[in-house]
Amino acid sequence: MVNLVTSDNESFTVEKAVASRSVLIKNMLEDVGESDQPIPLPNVTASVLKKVLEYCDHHKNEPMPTSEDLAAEDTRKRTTDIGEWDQKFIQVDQEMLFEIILAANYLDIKPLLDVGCKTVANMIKGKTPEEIRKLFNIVNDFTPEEEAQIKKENEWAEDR
Amino acid sequence: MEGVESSENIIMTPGAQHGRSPPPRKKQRASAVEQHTSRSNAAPPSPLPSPHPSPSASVLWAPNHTGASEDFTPAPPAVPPIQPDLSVTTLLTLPNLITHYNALPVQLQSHLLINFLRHSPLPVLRTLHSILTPTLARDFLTLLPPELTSVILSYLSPSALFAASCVSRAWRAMIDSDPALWRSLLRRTSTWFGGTSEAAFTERVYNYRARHPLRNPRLSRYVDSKPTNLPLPHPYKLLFKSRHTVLHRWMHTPPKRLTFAAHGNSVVTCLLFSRRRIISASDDHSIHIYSPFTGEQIRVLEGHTGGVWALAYHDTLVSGSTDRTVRIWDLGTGKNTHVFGGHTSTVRCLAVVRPTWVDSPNGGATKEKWPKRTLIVTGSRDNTLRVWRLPSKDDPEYRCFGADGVGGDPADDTSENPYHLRLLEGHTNAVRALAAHGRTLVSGSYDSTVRVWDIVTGECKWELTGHAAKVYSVVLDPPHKQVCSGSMDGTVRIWSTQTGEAIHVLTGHTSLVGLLSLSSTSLVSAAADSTLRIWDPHTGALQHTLSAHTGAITCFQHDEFKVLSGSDGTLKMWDTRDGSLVKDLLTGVTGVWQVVFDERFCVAASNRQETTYIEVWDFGGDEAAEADIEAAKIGQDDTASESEYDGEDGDVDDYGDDDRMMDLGDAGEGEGDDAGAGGGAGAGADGGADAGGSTRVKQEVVDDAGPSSWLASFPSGSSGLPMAPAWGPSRLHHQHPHHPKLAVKVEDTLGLLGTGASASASASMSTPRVPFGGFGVLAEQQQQQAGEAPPPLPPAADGTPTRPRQRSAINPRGRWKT
Repeated sequence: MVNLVTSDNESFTVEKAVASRSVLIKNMLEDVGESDQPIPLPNVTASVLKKVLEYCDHHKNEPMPTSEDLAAEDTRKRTTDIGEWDQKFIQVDQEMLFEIILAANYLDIKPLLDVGCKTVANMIKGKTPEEIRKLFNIVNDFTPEEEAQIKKENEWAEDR
Repeated sequence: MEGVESSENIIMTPGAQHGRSPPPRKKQRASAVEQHTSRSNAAPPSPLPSPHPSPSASVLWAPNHTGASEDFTPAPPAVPPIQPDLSVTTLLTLPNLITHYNALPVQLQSHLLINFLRHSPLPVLRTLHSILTPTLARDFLTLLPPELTSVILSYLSPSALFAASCVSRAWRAMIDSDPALWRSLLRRTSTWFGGTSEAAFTERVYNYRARHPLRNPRLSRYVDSKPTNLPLPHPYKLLFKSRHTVLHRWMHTPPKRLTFAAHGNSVVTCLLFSRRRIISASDDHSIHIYSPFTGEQIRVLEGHTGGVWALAYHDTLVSGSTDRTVRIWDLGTGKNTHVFGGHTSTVRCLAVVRPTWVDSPNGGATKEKWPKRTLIVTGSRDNTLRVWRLPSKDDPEYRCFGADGVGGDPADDTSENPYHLRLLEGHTNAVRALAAHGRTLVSGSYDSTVRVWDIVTGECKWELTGHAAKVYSVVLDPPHKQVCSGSMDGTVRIWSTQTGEAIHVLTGHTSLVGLLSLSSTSLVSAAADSTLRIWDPHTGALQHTLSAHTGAITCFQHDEFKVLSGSDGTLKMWDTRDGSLVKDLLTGVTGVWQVVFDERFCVAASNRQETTYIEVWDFGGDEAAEADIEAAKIGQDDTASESEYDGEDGDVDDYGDDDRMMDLGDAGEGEGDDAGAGGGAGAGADGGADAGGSTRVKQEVVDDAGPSSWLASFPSGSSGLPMAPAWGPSRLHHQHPHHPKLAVKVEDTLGLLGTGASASASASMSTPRVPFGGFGVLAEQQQQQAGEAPPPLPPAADGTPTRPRQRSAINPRGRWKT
């Protein structure tokens, strides 16, 4: 078992297999060896870590992505498909999604990071600029001239 | 419901006691509540109403909040109630309540609210939701670290990226300036060509921006607006846009088509498309210039006393003829300004060589610009090559002996000619093809060899032997210091111009390989065996065989996406990437003599019913598409440079032929603006440039008039096998009764060519009068200078978009946003 301590001082005790989904923790464990020392995670709060651990637990028996998988990323056709369980899991508010992405990045959990990024991409997809602004609460700071220019510039992409 | 759920999450924040192993995913609300009430650090006894308030209370509470829930300040008029009104009482105690609430630990606050919510009707929840959602909203792209933003963007399609870039300045800056994003899009759509093409394009764009910090022609032309201050996109975005726009047009848009007769029934020997003009040279001794929009004949250039068989364009037009002269024309006035004599037989191929940055010949990493001035190189049936200085605009005119048919023999001229620089001797038979770059010149000859020359010293550096028959085509691959040659022996050979070694021998064609063209990812060869083959120029591996034609391939051009090839009867478009046939652009013609395309137009010269026609396909689409493609022109530089391999030398007369454009009326409309775009401008534009097809380059100069076996075989169209001695004059005559000169002269021709000997003027003039001129000359040097395409955006001060963001925004807690 591994003991993890969050930034707000909550302590979580989890199976090694679960904690090791995080490459960061996995490497720490390898460096430190067997130890009862709690592992501090100063960038993650308890509420987020709980969510992240839920993901890690569900996926604990799956093979870790290999370096070849990662290398192939760039050329492979990008799909935003997300597994059924993951999709349910990631149905959270934007704040939580944001925190999960940051935590997945910090903890180095590539598959979770992908799920998070794909989810954001899916939120953007198929929407008009105005809908996107509304969704993410963003202010339109273009001048009308600039808007016209950008539209002109980007016409080519419209049906692609 | 997002807001509610999130509160729940907070409430359920685990303590050490349930942190072990998988935390439960979802809990009943009841259990959550219970959990908290039992926590050791639970809040002190609450002064607030019980967690399970009476229904009546909630009913009273709710209406008060529908509509203007936050609006708790307007206390009702303080009319002392006799029977205290519950609403009023509650409102009056609100300040107190809030103070208490604020003092509670977070968990208890959540608990409390949840309980309130549970007893609130839908309208209240809806109001709450409309407030909570934006509060919990996150501007992900701006707040996440750039590397993560890049990952998110990489999942978006171009159209989604377009919408996203319209969201805000920050979003646009992130999207437009992310090279990784656009590179990955290019790669995933198989439009990343590799080699030097992308880097060269990028460099040209930056050079252009550096030189034109304030220039913003696009904007003023297409959008009626004041200059804007948006940062410029990364060149990769422009590249992606340009490649996809062009690809989409060609593959999916039905083109407009224009057909007009030209040159009577004579052979079109060379066809150039430059700066919105069609330049066609013919066996009828003339060169015509047409508008691709109307088919109107803009100019007729007359002066040659023999068929014109070689043509190149660089600001001025240079032509070579069976009359043994080289002529230079001012396209603005149509005047023949210079006539160079010296060759003793047909001038069969020529190229304009512009100063270009190349590796120093002394080795080392230094770059030098060679040649120092723009040169013309000509190859002739007299077995020699000659090097001339290209006259510039202000240079005096010059006419050699006999330029106008009187006063001597042009062949005796050179000693007087200040433009003549050098005679290159060594080949023992006609020089059929040449290609030049920097100070390197390669020539292919009917003596079966390829020679590599130093243009500057005139030294023959290598004689490349290996071909077993006449060499018909050569193309240079400057970045790899290689030359490719195609021969009547059916092979294509790739040689090193540095060591003179043969690197690859490409076998597969079963007869004469008459045409070659090279782009950064593919070498295409066309043969009399009716096929074209696409090779990997680096490994020599065969990638695709294009076989659907039924006769010898007479002309073709290619770029990274498409191959356009003409043979007897059809002009076909193929997909370069998978070798599949896309469509027939032309069917039912007697023969296709020449084809040339740029990013928007395809032009072909063909023959049907004994008349020569020029066909123009406009893939530009409607007016909007026009503006669009203009804006994308920078990509044209791209393709051009891919063919020309020199992105760096834009400073050699780039820009500046606006005046010439004026002369040409609508042909030039708008192009003045374009001139010199893309930095390397000059570089880019010439050559394939307008041709949008990378490709052309190489081909230049290669054309054949010759009574090659191939030619003869072509009209027959049947076997496609040229070698047979069967086609004699009689057969030709039979095939082309409408071409009497041809029939009469063929025998002469064969004789002359066979020996490659110099011929008398009259004989040589008649020589190549063979239809189906075979490989068109596509002397491609044309269109120099054009760097078309200024970037579509107004250049910003420094051209570097900034990306305002919170770099490592770990845990920015929720803020209310407006």
